[in-house]
Amino acid sequence: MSNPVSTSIRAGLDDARRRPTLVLLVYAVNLVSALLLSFPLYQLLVDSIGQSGFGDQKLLDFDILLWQEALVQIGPSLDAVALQLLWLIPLYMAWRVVAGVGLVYALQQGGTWPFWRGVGRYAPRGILLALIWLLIRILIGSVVVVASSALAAAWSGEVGTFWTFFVIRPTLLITGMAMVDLFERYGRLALVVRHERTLSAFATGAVWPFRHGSASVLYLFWFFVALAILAVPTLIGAQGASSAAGVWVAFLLQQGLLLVRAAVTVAWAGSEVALFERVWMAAPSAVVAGAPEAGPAIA
Amino acid sequence: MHKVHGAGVRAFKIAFGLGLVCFVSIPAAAQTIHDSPLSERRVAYEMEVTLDPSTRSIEGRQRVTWRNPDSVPVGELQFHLYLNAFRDSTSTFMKESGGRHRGFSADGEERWGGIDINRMQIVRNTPGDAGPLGAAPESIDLTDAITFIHPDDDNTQDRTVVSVQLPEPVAPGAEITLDIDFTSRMPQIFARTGWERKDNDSLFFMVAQWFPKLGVYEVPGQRYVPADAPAGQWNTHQFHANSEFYADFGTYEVSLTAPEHYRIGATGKQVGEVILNGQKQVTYRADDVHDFAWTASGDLLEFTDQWRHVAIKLLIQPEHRAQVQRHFDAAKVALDYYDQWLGEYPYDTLTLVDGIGGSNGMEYPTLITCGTFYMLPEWARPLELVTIHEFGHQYFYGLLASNEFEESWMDEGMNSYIEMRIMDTHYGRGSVMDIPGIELSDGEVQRMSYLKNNPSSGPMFAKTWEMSSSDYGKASYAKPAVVLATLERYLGWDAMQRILHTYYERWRFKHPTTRDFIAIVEEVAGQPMTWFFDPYVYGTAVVDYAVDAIVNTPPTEDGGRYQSVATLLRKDNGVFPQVVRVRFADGSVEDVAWDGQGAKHELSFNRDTPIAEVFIDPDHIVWLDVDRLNNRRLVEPETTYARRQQFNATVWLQQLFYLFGGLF
Repeated sequence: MSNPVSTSIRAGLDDARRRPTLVLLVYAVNLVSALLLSFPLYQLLVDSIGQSGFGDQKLLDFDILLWQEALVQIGPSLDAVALQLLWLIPLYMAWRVVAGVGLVYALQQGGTWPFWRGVGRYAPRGILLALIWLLIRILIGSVVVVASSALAAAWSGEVGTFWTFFVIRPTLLITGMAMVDLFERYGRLALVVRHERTLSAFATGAVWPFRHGSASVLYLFWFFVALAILAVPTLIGAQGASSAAGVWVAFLLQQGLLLVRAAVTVAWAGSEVALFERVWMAAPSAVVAGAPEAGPAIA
Repeated sequence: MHKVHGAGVRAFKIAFGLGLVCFVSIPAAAQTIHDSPLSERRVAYEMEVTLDPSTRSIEGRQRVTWRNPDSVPVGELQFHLYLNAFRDSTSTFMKESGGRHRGFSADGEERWGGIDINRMQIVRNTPGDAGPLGAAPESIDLTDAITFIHPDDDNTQDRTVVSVQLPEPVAPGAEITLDIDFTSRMPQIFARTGWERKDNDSLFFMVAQWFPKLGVYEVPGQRYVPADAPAGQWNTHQFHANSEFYADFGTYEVSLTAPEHYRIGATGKQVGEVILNGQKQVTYRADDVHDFAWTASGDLLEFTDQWRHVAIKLLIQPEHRAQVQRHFDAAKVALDYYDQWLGEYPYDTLTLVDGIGGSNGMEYPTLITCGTFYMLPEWARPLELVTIHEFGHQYFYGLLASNEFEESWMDEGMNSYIEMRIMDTHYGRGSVMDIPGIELSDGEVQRMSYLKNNPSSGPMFAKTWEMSSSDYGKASYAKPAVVLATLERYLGWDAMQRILHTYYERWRFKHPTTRDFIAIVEEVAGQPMTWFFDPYVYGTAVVDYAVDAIVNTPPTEDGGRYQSVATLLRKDNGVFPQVVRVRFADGSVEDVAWDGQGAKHELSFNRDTPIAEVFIDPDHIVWLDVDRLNNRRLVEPETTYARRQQFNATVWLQQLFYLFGGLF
């Protein structure tokens, strides 16, 4: 039998290649959400410092004083724009949940339209499932903060403070959040693929990765691939293109990478669907009794 | 580790342990690189002190000799007892500071300290025959003649300055020698001095402002005492929250006794060490300095290095061991540039102390406290900045010993200016912080601290205790750095070099004033500079020039010319002569001089081509200008920058959404 992780990754990559519409959908929502806030920023900058003549200098020569002087002018407007994140981030997180069930359904069924059918059919239970995991995220976050604070109290001094707050706490938080993400993903798969009810899907998600180690390996693979691809646009931006053409070229390069990042999202989901179905097919007795459309359905 | 045993100096006497007296003779040697005295040496201190870690206190015996520099007899001595600032909450220091100083608080049950003079007597013999410290054969007790005085306020609870009326005045040019027994109780570290218990239960001591210290007797003609005054006067001030110190040059020979396992660093050069009965006594000698500070701890690592004639010793916390080389490198950078830009460092030792909390970032003659953080990354240079800054005080305070109470800009400000110049010259752009996208230079930090912190408030020339805390920080550090950077750009670096060299040569080992510095600037510049110093050093003028409008009127007939007018504004009360650069649409450029006097000024042109851009101060001479963004104006808006920032923000938001989406 072939390695389940590599097989699943190949399946996921095939999914991303065969479903460009899904990739574009994920990319477009991400881009449009960002443009909602960055368009006003452009106008603010043109209106406030476009005539100052320091644009070129700031491109080539970062000057925090000029920045500060510019912020004096555009600060209040910028604050208003930044405040929009308060509703945009929760909305985007909700979209993540909704799109998550849609993607799983579409990748399982094939085609693009099943995405929206999946959204229509499983979004409410997907959101309920996400809310349960949100509570657990908050709980984990609180436990990590309290535990690391207690550790800092016992391990005082700058060495203890450094390791506690700059290494241990962030590592525990990231690990905890990644584990919850892993559980939620397989809960979502149980919800859509096996049509389990919310609490049952929650339970399946919570135990499935423990029973099947390949799920964790697969998650770690995509986690680091996604993170690496997400980081590269920052490096391109830091190069500081100085001409109008250079600015556009840098932006297009960055968008190309973010498009790849959207493809990773689809491939990631596709590989998890493949792994989940592969294991499920090997153990058909695990099908939940009374589920409306029980049984594997491989695209 | 490097230890000095018996190297160096003249006979000294040790008496410690269980009544055991031990005599060790050491040949004499100078502690500077010159054979003859470099300063007037109006004072000489000999001290034998013992640190008791269990009570965090110091028992000391002091023999201090003072020479009357005046042409008339002087019947009074004045001493600083700085440590009494931490005696209780009623001191002037604690009232002014509210128990907070530079981000640190005085709290906890062991926060109080203080100093008591247990006995003071005049030694009748000549200093050479005076006998052991505290046991002069003929003496007159002065303990009851000590009275607390309050030169700066009416706080009768403040005990940081004492006056001693002498039974007989000291004749002009004559000396008086006093034996003083004192007890110093160190506070938990706050405002530069004290002790701290480390996590491993060891104690760290930074012993500063810790002994009875004579004030400065200023003779007629010295500093601001009128030359025709009938007599000089003591210049002493209470210890204030916003002030540092002022003292006369002299010699110090100090024997320090501490537990054997303690490492000790101090002002001057170690000239002896004796270990007995679990105690260690080290003797330091320092010539031509005006203070003495030391540190002791059982939990310090010691490293040594050499720069030309200077033996550098580093006492560092074990957790900062990885940064030993950074300390030495920064110290050598400072030594190099100061040697080049001002003059020779005349001492042959420099001790760097990696202290704890509020003890860090402070200067004493030949000893500075630096301070760093565990795992400090290479791209952040607070360690280098503080080390260079504190070393700079060896010049601006140590050698050029201005009165820090009354003219703090002359030490902190001039030092900040040179620190900024060294940082930005040596480390280049991003001298303070250097990560992609954020290159923060020291010059920007100084400009920001002044320009964006209510620049119209707080003149540089002011008594420090009369300043608010925010004005003190700005007017003593950042504003002088910006003012001197502007002066440098106005006169040119060559002229500034001559000013710095002349100032150093003329005033080292003396007490210069603002007036003295201005005289040198005018001498080198060859012109009166009151137009510069009056508004920006003595006053609070704010510079803000702006291009208000550009109007290009096209020709009305074929072959006609553009009538172009640029309107310039002086938006605040600061006046500075300006160069205005006008760029025309055909690419031609014309520089126009403007005296900067008027509140509004118009530049008119009649050309074949319209104005494309007007730029006031294009070479950025006037660092004092509080808003450079309005110095420049284009006729056609430039959008590349805005587009780039929009794109950056777009990508950043996209990344943010992915992360908030749980890496979805």
